[in-house]
Amino acid sequence: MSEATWNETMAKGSRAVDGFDLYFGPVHPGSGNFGVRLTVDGERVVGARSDPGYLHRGFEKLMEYRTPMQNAVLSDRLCILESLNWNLIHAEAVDQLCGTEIADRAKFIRVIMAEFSRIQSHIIWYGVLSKALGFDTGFKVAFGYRDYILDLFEFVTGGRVYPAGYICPGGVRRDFPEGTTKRIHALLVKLEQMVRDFEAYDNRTIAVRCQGVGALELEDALRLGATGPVLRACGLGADVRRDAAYEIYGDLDFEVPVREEGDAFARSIIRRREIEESIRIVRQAVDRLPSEALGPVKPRVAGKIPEGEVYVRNEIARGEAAIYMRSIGEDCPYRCKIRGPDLLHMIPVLEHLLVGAEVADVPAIYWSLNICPADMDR
Amino acid sequence: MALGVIPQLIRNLFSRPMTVAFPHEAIPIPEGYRGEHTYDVERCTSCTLCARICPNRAIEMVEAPEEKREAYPKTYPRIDLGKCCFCGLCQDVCPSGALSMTKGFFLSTNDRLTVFRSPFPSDEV
Repeated sequence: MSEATWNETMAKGSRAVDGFDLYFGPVHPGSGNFGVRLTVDGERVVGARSDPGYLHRGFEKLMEYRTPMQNAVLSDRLCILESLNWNLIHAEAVDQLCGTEIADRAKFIRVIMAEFSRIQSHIIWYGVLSKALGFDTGFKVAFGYRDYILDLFEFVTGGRVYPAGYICPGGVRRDFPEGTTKRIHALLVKLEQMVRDFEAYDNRTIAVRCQGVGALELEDALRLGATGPVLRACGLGADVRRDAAYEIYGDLDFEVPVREEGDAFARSIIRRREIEESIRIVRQAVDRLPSEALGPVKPRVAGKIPEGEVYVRNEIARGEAAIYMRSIGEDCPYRCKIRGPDLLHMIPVLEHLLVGAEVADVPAIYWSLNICPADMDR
Repeated sequence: MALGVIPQLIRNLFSRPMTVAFPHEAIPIPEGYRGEHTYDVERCTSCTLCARICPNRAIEMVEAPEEKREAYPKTYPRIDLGKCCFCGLCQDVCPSGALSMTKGFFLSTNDRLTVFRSPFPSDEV
């Protein structure tokens, strides 16, 4: 800076600075592996720019080099927080390409595990939102309850966080071990207690910090591509499980919670209601689980995927997720395009909501969207 | 409403902790857990399926050292646990049951060579 410019700047005093950049992430404990560059003027955010790419691993390319069974294992890592839901989308894409018929029991098991994955993801969301708002008790209670679900995952799939492609092309890698149904019923009772706990705790901290914060109009939500709980909190009850039912969802009785407010508090209420609906779904599926035993799916080292293309969409905890898969008749898919719900939530929606917010509200807005950098960066 | 946490805090005073005092006691690991591999070279048919199914290419088919080549003339899987993601596909694909997974999870080591699991008995690498 030249001396003249310096003198000019000093003469203007603090007014010379219109705003400064505040980096929220990507190595901030409150942001996950994702960064937002905020331009702030005093306490107010005047500009926000998402900075994706920190967790990019090149999944779409990796999948072109692997067979469907290997990709099933890889699909766990698309979103660590709800790996079974991603397993399911990948498996459905391959099944549709190959025209594989899935046994009824396998369909029920898929839905039960995917719903537990959704509940587990919502529990993590409740924990990190509480932590971001300074409500440490909520964080600890949520992660305590999450462990009960991880215990079930370990019992059924052999791994706590990574099921290693448990829901795989052709069904599931192995049947429920003996005693699983009993464990599931016991777990559902615990989860119902958890929902009651959440309702008893919040209100003070969560309501005060979230009500009226980060309000999204329905028109903006549609324009920016919001899906899932973010869209349902704005008043539109869109849910792929009901609108374009897959697996056994068409036979199950469940509701899609909708709120009108569109703010962070509405989004948090929606997710809590969704946990209750998921508990209902699991209970119905377990009660109607077909009894004939299921043989394990033997992995195939080589096997051509028939030529064709499919687009499979599912409702996962964060919104609408999809896989476009194309095969040209080789062992590996020719192209596998992944559409995660978080790309649109973390870039256009987040940037839109942050502009005009207070700096102190940034974590509340950020986590109310229930973002997952792994699924966005892929 | 604001006091919703208080009953829980009082309950916690009289409830058992969720954690256990590891290593003096441990939560039992269920059957079917995908831990460290166990391998029986005598049952292995050297079919290479495990090396071909491995998503992380952690399994390499290696020849026996010179002095053991008479007993083990083919190639056998050497597992690099540093690359392994413990998916268990090798166990599922193995036709002879030579390769399976155990409940072992004490895998941390200070010596990088020990992450390789040699297929041959009493052989370090």
